[in-house]
Amino acid sequence: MDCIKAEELLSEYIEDELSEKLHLEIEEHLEHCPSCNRLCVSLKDIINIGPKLHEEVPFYLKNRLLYIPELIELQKEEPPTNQGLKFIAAMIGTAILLLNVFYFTNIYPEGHSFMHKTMSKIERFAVDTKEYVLQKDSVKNNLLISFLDKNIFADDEKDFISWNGENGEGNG
Amino acid sequence: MEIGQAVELCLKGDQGAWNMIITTYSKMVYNIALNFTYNYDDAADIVQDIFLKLHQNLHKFDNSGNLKGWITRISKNYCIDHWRKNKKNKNMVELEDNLVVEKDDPEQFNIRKSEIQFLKNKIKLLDPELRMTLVMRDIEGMAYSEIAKNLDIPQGTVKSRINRARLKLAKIVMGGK
Repeated sequence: MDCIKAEELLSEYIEDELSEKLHLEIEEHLEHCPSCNRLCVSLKDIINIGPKLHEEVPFYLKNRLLYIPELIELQKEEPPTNQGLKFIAAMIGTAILLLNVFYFTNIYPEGHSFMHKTMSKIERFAVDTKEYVLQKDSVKNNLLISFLDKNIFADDEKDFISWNGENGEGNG
Repeated sequence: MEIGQAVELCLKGDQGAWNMIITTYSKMVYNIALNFTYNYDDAADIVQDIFLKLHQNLHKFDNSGNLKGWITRISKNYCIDHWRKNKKNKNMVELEDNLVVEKDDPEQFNIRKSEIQFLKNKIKLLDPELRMTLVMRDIEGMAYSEIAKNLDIPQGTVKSRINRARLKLAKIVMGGK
């Protein structure tokens, strides 16, 4: 038997899983081959040490595993959350934060001046809008007053005149 | 209680049955995961993921089947996936010495301890397929037929993989001495 064949069968030889004939052939080979013999000793060592490499499951992990059923139940009870909306809200928040940074600091000068120009435009728009609304309101109020004058107060005046006339005739 | 019965009870929400499944298989899964990740935290996360998946899919398990084989296959796939994703092995650490060795002869004990420590950290040099079979045979003490059944490969392949793994490891150990 050559070394290559012996190497192939060494594990089975050590574990005594070979036929008697092959077992004897390897034994004979090992007697005459020091390198295969050394390999065989090393293999025996590995096989003996193997079970000692076994590690115990840590206590914390065992606890985590035991609570898996409860964990699954809790997950089932949790209402479904809308991840899309949360994402959009987070993006809006981040954008506002960034715009604030540009507005209040000068880390990016172009952004800073753009923010201030935009803010002054918004303020101008707000002022103009307020003025427009007030103007409109005053026009509306004037129209309303003139409408009331024409219709309601005019009717009242007629009534008053007619009532006064009747009474005046009566008095007279 | 048999495993089949434990699975049935577990599906009905019996915590005791789940405890039994954990006690029976967690050691095996943890040791497989540890010998693939070489990181205690990663191994713990993998074991938790595997048992979470197991619990969620327990209803699919056919009671006439082999639960150990099922768990072994899930563990193998998980660990090999993890190994592929972390080929650069950035998170690998030297495994600590949590070993219990007979302390009859202190000198012999120390030599043995250093040998064990050395071997433990050399297993990571093996290919995943070889490593898996070696862990199952030499660390978990499974029979060749059981490994063949669990990994769904012929017994001859199992024998040759284990022999190759041991030879490679022996040569590394001999070279390191």
